[in-house]
Amino acid sequence: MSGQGYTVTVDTLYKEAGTWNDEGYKLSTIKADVMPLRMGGVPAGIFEPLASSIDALVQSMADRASEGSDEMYRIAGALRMTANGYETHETATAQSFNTLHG
Amino acid sequence: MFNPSQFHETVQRINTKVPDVQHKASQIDIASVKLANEWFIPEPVARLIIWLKDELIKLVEELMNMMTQVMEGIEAPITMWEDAYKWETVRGIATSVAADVNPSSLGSTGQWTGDAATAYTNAIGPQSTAAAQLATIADSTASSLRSCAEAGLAFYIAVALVVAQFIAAEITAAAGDASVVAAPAGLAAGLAAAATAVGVFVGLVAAIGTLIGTEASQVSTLHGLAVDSTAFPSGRWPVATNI
Repeated sequence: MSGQGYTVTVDTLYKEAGTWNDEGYKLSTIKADVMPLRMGGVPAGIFEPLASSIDALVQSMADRASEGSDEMYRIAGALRMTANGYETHETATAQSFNTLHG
Repeated sequence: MFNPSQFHETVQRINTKVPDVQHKASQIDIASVKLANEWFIPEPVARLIIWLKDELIKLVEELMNMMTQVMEGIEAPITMWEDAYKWETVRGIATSVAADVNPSSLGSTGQWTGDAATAYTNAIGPQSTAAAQLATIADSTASSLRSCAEAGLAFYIAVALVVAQFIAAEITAAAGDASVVAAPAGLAAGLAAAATAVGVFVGLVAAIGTLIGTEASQVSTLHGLAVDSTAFPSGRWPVATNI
């Protein structure tokens, strides 16, 4: 801990959580978009070597996009949790003074 | 540049010519056998006619076998061309994600400071890099697919020409049979031309095979980028959260 204090606008964090949600969604669409781009399963004849390479690539792209999507949703969740934490702390702090002077 | 309508025309040209190859081969077969059995054809000449005819039929079979092989993937160039566009769409999405989650462009930058903010900024840095890597891979995949589609078009145009040359060779051979006197010479000329066409075909198949092989290893390299530890630690999407 640096102990240098902090500044925060909780609304900004909620808004940014929304951004991560949107980006997580975009990555999930990449997964959906690449899966039909497999070339295997249909006879590719002389193009067969390319078809096999493409299929392996599609799988990796789908895996990374899926993991990325999950992670971005988690970042959104972590930001919301952080914002909640700041809010709870703020309420509790205010409460302790209200109790003294209420 | 790949042109789908030119490709369809080429496919159609091949499809209409191939039955012609076999039809002409049957005609030569029948005419040669008939000629070889004529009373006025001396035995050695008859044997020569049959031998030339048999060699020509062997070439027809060789050509047909290769045609079967190359026609199997005839739809692939169209698919690859269409898929190249879809990979470009994927590139666009990944690029926009990379830009949107860049720490310097996120809204909290400058508005949120302190240890938590620093930890957050450090943790999310690799997310943009990872998304940019997906964009790079998608872009290069689109390029490879376009190259293969274009090579495929050029290949099938050449195949159509070779088939046409082969038919011309058969016409020469058939004309030899029809002329009676010049039958061996005509058959020999037709056989030579047919052998040349088949040789060119073999060369074409080898050339497209090499090209496809090169693009396939290019795509395998891209697959390597999808598990590269710089953008994807331990071959997975970078983890930013502890929850």
